[in-house]
Parts: sequence; structure tokens; C-alpha cells
Amino acid sequence: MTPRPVSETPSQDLEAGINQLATVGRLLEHPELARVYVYVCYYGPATRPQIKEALQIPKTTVYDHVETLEALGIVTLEGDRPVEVTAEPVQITTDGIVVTPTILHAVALQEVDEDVSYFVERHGVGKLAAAVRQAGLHYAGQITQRMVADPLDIPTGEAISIVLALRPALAVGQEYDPYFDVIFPEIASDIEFETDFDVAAPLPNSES
Amino acid sequence: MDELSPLSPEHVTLVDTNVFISAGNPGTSKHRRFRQVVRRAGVTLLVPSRVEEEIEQGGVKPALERAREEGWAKTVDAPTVSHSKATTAQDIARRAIASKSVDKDEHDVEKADPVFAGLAVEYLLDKKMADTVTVITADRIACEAIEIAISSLGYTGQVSIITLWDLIDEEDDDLTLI
Repeated sequence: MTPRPVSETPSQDLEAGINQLATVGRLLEHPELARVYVYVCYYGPATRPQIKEALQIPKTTVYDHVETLEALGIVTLEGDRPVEVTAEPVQITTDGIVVTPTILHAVALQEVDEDVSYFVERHGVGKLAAAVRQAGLHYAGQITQRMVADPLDIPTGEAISIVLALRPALAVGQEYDPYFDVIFPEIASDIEFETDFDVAAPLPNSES
Repeated sequence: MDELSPLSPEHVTLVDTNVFISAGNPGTSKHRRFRQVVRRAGVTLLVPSRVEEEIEQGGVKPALERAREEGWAKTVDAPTVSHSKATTAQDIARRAIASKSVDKDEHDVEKADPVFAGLAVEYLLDKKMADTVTVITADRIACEAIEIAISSLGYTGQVSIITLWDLIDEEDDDLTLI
């Protein structure tokens, strides 16, 4: 199911806009929270046991994160036994700063890929977002992996490493992020990969 | 299967650092498959020392060290690209990379990418080191540019450019989607 575009922020509504900035700021700072959010956004509706199973994180952590995300207003809980969690895709575009689920996915990859966590440790999450854009240029066939180093001002070996590590965020985002072309105007549909891989994550059986 | 391998101990086999970075460190299934295909072919991969520091930057020093200990890779002081055909190959590859992007020119091209085209030709012509050269890369854009350079100079039969994915298949556990 394609997620429903919901919010474009900051809108004229200052209060809602600032709240959404704060929400996105929280996700950028918390990779595990971002991981739960992006999973539900892309593959939901999902039950909490399904999230636990798919992401291999403790049940209490899943419940805590879902509660936080619900309080932030970016997921909704529906139904009764099982309760399904649905996420609204967020998008922030202001003065050239773009955050969409693809960026949050890159942030979430810190939890599962040590090259990404090492990169953020050294360069911060802002540079990671910039690396997502540069990696897109590589996979769209415009620049080599090494050419990512110069605009990011990082060593070439680190550039190669982060371009390779960001592949899941780009491949899945291309399929599931409704705002993918906001990050990659003009090149979104040129992005492709050397090998095919299945970006559809199966929802685990909802029995827990 | 061996006769189908694009690798041969008869060739000089140059490998770009991105191949090691992509294959990862010992302990992963992808590294195991890469190591196996190289060792079965009886090949020693040559890593030009000018790109060696990228190995550490890319976090795969353990992989290169192990490969060196086991004798299937070594760092070499590759020859200077000086033969006119070799510098031409390098220039063609550089222009081919620059032409991929409307807002980049040749000066924006990182030197280490086209240098593999130059090195391949230099090995072929210099010192009679090899009749055949293979270049392995994990960068599709660099691979295409080197191919253009090699074919426009008529060396297609003597220099082959392959990617890591010509050597191993990707398996599901190579990456975690989220």
C-alpha cells in the first residue's frame, strides 16, 4: 500500500510546523525510534508483535517506541486484538533542507550497520543526510563512489564505504517513500543497483 | 566451474579498494564467498599502494591483512602511468566519467578512478609483465569508463574489466533492509 501523503511542513500553521520540526528532530537523534517509525511507515499497518519480530528488538522497547511515536502524532493505533500501528510519512522541506522517510531510514541504519554508525559518530547526522543525496548521484550513474568524497569533505575510503552502506535506504525508499523525488529531483527514477534485491520485507505472522 | 571463472593466474589482476570495502571483513558470508572465488582461481590480487590508505578508511584493514597472510592479495607499488597509450587510456576514462554528469568536468573526477585504465595499459606495455590484465572494481560508473577507454584503444582482448558481481552472487544475508 502506498502511504498517504499527509503533511507538508512547515505550513502556514506555525504551531503545527514547529511541532513537526521537533518530531523530526527527535527521530534524527534516535536511530532505534526512527527504525520503528520507518518500518511501520513502509511496511505497515503492523502489529507490535510483528514489529518486534521483524526488527528483532525487545517487546518492551517496541511498546515504548510506539507509545512515543503515537504521542508525537505520527503513528496511529487502530483496532482491537490485534492493534495495528499505522504511520504517516513525514516530510520537512524548508530552505533546501529536506527530511523524508528515506533520510530517517539512513539514520535508522545506524542500528544495523556499523559502517553507518561509525560515519555518524565521526561526521554527524547532517553529513549522513548529505551523503544520502550524493549516494543517489552515484546510483543514478552520474558520479563514481570516490567522487562523493569531495563534496562531503571526507576521505575517499569513507566515501566508498558510506555509498555502499546506504544502498538499502535508497533501494527501499525508491519503492516506498512517497517523497523520494523531493530528495532526488530529476534523478529519482534513474537510481538503480548492480544487483536486484527484494525490497519487500515480509510481515511476520502476527501471533507472538 | 574453474574454466568459467573470469580470473586466471596468468593475468595481472588489479583490484580496486572498493572491492574489499564491498566484500567486507572476515566473518561475513560475502567475504567468505569472495575469498573462496579468488583462492580457487589461484590468483594474487594486486592492490596499488596509491589507494591502500582507503582500505583503512573504509574499515576493512582486517580483510586485506588476512588476504596478504594467505597470499591471495598484495599491495604493490604500481608503475607510473607514463606510456603514451596508458596516459591516453587514463584521459579517456576521466572524460568518460566527467561526461556522466552535466555539472562536473574532468577536474572534478577523482584521479584514482581513471588511473586503473592507465595502469592496466601500463602493465600490458611496460616491462612485458603480462599479456593479459584483469581489473576488478565494485564501482559500476568507473567500470563503464575504464571499458570505454580500453575498447577505444583496441585492447579489449587483452584487458578485461569486471565487477565484484561477476565473481560472486548477492545473497539475502548480505544486507539488512532496515
